Amino acid sequence: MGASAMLKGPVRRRRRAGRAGGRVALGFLVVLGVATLLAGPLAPYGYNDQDYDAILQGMSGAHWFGTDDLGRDVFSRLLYGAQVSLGSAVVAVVVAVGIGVPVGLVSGFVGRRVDAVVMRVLDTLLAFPTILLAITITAVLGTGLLTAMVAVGIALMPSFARMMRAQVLVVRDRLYVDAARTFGLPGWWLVARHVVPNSIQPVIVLTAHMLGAALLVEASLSFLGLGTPPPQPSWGGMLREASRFLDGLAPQIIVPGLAIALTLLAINVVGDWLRDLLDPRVTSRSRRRAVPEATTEAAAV
Amino acid sequence: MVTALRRKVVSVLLTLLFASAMVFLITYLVPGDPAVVVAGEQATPEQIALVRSELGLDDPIVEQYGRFMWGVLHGDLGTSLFTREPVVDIVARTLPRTMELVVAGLVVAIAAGIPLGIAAAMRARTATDGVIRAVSTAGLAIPNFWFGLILVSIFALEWAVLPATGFVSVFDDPVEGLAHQVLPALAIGLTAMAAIARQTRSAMIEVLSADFVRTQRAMGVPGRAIVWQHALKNASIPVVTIIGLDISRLIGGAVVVETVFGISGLGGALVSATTQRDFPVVQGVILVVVFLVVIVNLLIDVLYTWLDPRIQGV
Repeated sequence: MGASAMLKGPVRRRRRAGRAGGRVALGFLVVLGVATLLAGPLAPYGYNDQDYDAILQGMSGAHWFGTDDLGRDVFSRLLYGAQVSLGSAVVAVVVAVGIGVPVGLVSGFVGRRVDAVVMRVLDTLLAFPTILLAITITAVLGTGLLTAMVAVGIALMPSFARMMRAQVLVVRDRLYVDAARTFGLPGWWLVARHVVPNSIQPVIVLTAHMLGAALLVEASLSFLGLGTPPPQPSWGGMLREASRFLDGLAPQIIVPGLAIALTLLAINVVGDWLRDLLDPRVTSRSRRRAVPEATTEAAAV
Repeated sequence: MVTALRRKVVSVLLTLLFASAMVFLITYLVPGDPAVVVAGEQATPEQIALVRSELGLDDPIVEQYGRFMWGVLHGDLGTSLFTREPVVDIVARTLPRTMELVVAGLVVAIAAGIPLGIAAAMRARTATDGVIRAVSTAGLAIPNFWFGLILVSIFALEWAVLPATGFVSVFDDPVEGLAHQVLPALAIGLTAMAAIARQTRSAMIEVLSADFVRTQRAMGVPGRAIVWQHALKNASIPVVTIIGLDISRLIGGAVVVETVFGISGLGGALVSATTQRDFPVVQGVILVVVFLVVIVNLLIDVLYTWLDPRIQGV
C-alpha cells in the first residue's frame, strides 16, 4: 500500500490542495525568474530612459504601468528591479547559509564550551530585530547594494546556525554515527558522511522561507534609502521614489509593492509545500503543532 | 520556580552583556580606519585625529570597553558626532513615539488576530475558515511599509478622512492621537495579526478536540464559556510565544513604517545616523532596542508560568 493510500480522506484532500497551490506558486516563481533573466530583451525601455514629456503618467499602451517622476517606464524598471531584488535575496541567503550552516555544524558537533559560547552569541544576535540588525551592519559596512546583501545575509545567519545545530545534536548521537566512531573514523568523515546528509533537510526548507525574509529585508533597506542606490532600480527603491510623489492610489505605488507581496506569497507557499514534501510522515497540521508555525513565521520580518 | 526564574535572569544578564560587547565592537568592525570613515574622505589629518580622540580610539580597547559600559550603566550613551546632542536625549525624545506605535500595532494585532483565529477554528474547514486563512496568509506576505503607503493613499489622499503624516500622542490629545495613529498601527500590526490569527487557529483546533472540552460539553457547559474561558487559556501558550516573537518584529516594523508617515521616532534617528555613520547614535539606539526586546521576552517567560503552572524550567 502506498503512503498516500494510508492517509485519511481530509488529510489527503488537504495534501492535494497544498500540492495544487504549491504548483501554481512554483509556476509563478519560474515565470518570474525567466522574466527577470530576460529583462533586457523584454523591457520596452531602458531602466534609466527618461522622458520629461511623460512624467507620472497612469497606465497606457505605451507605458503599461505608467511612468515615474522622471518619466521612466515603471514596467521596465520593475523587470530590471527584479534582477536586483531577487538577485540580492539569493545572494543574501547564500551568505546566510554559507556562514550559518558551518557555524551550527561545528557548534553542535564539537559541543561543550565552543557550543556554549556560540549559542550565547547566536541568542544575542537573535534578540536584535532582523531589520535593525541589517541596518546596524549597513552602518558598519557602509550603504550600497553589495553591503546590503551581506548585511541581510548576516542578519539571517543565526536562524540557520540554530537549526543546523539542533539537527546535529540529534544526529550526532544516533547509533550509526556511534558505530562509525567506534571504527576509529575521523571526525570530519563522520560529519561529511553521516551528520550533514542527515541534518540538511530542515535547512533546505528554512532556505526557502528565508529567501522570502531576505527579499523583504532588502526591500525595507532600499525603501529606507540604505540599500540599492539610484538610478539602479529595486522594488523597495521604486516604492521609496514613488512615496515622495504620493498623490492617491497610482500604479507607481501599487505595482512594485504588489510584486514584492506576490513573490513573497509564492515563496511562502512553495516553502510550506517543500516542508510537507520532504517529510511525508508529518501532515502540515501536526507539524504546526510541534513547531509553532516557525518556518512560515520566519518569512515575516 | 524561584531557581528557574533566577537562572533565567542570569541568562538575560549574560545576553545583555554580550549584546553590549557586540554593540561596543561596532566601531572596530568598520573596514579601514573608523576615524577616516566618520571624518570623511577629504578630512585633514588634524580633523581625523580629533575624531579619533573623540571616539576614544587612542586608548587601549579594554579601557574603551570599560568606559563604554560605565557610561551605559550610568545612563550615558555618548554624544552624536554630528548634532552634539547626547544620545540619551535623542533616545528619550524618539523612543516614546516608537513605543506608542508598537503598542498600538500590538493592540491591533491581538484585537483582530485572536478573534479571527478563534472564528476560523470554530468553523474549521468551512468557507469562513478559508477566507480567514487566505487573509492571514496574504497578511504575512504584504510588506508593512507598502501597506502603510496604500493606507495613506486611500484614507489620507483619496478620501482625506485621516491625516497622512505626523504624530500626536494619545496621552496629549486622545482624539487627534487616535486619528494619527490608526493608519500606522494598522500597517505595523498587519503581519503580527496574520501570525497571531494562524497560531490561534491551529492551537484552538487542537484544544477543542481535547478530552476535557468533550467532557465539559457533555456536562452542559455553554459553548461560549468553553471557548473563551477554558479552551483559550489552554491554547494561549503557543499564541503567547508568537506574540513574544512579534514584539521584536513590531519594533522592526515600526522603524520602517515611521518613515512612511513622517514620524521622527527611533527609526528616523537610526536611519539618519546610519547614513551619516554617526556611530554613537547607532550604538545607543540599537542597545536600547535589544534591552527592550530581552526584557519583554523575560516578562513573557514569567507569563508562561502563570498561564501553565506545569511549566517550571523556563
